[in-house]
Amino acid sequence: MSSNVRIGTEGLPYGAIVTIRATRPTLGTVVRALGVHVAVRVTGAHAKEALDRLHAAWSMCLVPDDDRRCRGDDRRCPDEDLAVGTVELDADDLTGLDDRLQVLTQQVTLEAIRAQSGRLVMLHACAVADPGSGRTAAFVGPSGTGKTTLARVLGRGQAYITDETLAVREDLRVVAYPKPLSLRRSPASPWKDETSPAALGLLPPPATPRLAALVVLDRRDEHDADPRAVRLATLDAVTALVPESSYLPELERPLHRLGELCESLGGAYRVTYRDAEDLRPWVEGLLAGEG
Amino acid sequence: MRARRVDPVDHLVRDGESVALVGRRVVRLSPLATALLAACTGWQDAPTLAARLEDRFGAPPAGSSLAATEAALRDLRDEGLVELG
Repeated sequence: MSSNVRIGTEGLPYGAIVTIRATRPTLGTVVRALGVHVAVRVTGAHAKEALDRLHAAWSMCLVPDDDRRCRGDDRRCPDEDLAVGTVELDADDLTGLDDRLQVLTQQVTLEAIRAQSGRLVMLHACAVADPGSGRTAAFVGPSGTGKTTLARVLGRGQAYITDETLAVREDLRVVAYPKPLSLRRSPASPWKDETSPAALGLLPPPATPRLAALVVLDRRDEHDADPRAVRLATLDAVTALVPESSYLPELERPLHRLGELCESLGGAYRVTYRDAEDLRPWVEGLLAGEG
Repeated sequence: MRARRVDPVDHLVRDGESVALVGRRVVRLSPLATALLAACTGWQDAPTLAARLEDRFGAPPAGSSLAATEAALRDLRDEGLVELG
């Protein structure tokens, strides 16, 4: 928040006001989200520390300096013309910074999703890929179904694509969004810590991730057997996917796009399971092309 | 009663069944509802529609074809897929 100081001055007509805008430290960076650039402006006394935290958490999404046209002034703000939007991070006080980093992640995601509306199929999903082949398996489910846990568990030794939004082109190429993993601070907490995927041992996305399997999650605490996966008929899959999509009506013939996506994969799966770890062997098979 | 189809955002048909996107909501349609919706191009009288459905699906297990067709049309109207006149 800027400090505007309004003062009356001698020698000016009665009632004249001069506004002095106090300059606060401002730093900037650019992250790549769902294939577009989003600028982040960090402002406040602790801007440097906050930016360092942000860089660590977003390490797999940072746009290299060469790719952005910095203005080159002493505030180092990124060129916003290149970005689809700018989000702000207040770093006047380090107290509550974790909370604001979580909000920032949500804002970046919303900016990116909005920018890609009408272009990409976007689903609430986590996804991991084989680092060599780029075969990608995506797991669709609403918030609170454990997508981040799944990405963290299944991603060990694999490439991390996203823990939140899967974006797919018509030719099945996946637009990676390896954002920080949003780890819940405690089971009952609404707040999450933005955690670097590299710090969790996840590998960066391969050059050309390609969707190989689409899985609708059905996690049940009472399920005490092995995971059960079934192929869904196209209409069942589409019915399950629509509520987990973003900006679907903005696509041309959106249901056909979803239906053809599922059919090109040989059908989507629904998997019933309890613990993410139980899915590892099956998912490793999917990534190896054994699905 | 007569009915006319209201075009959804998209309508995907597979093996005689379908799903429709109405606004941001997905509606699953049975084979009968899919056939009824397909028949509602332009204003159509309910008795005409009932006869076409009975030809294709047979008589309903209980009640008249017309009553069943009118009930189905009201369901489609409630889902935003037809308008009734």
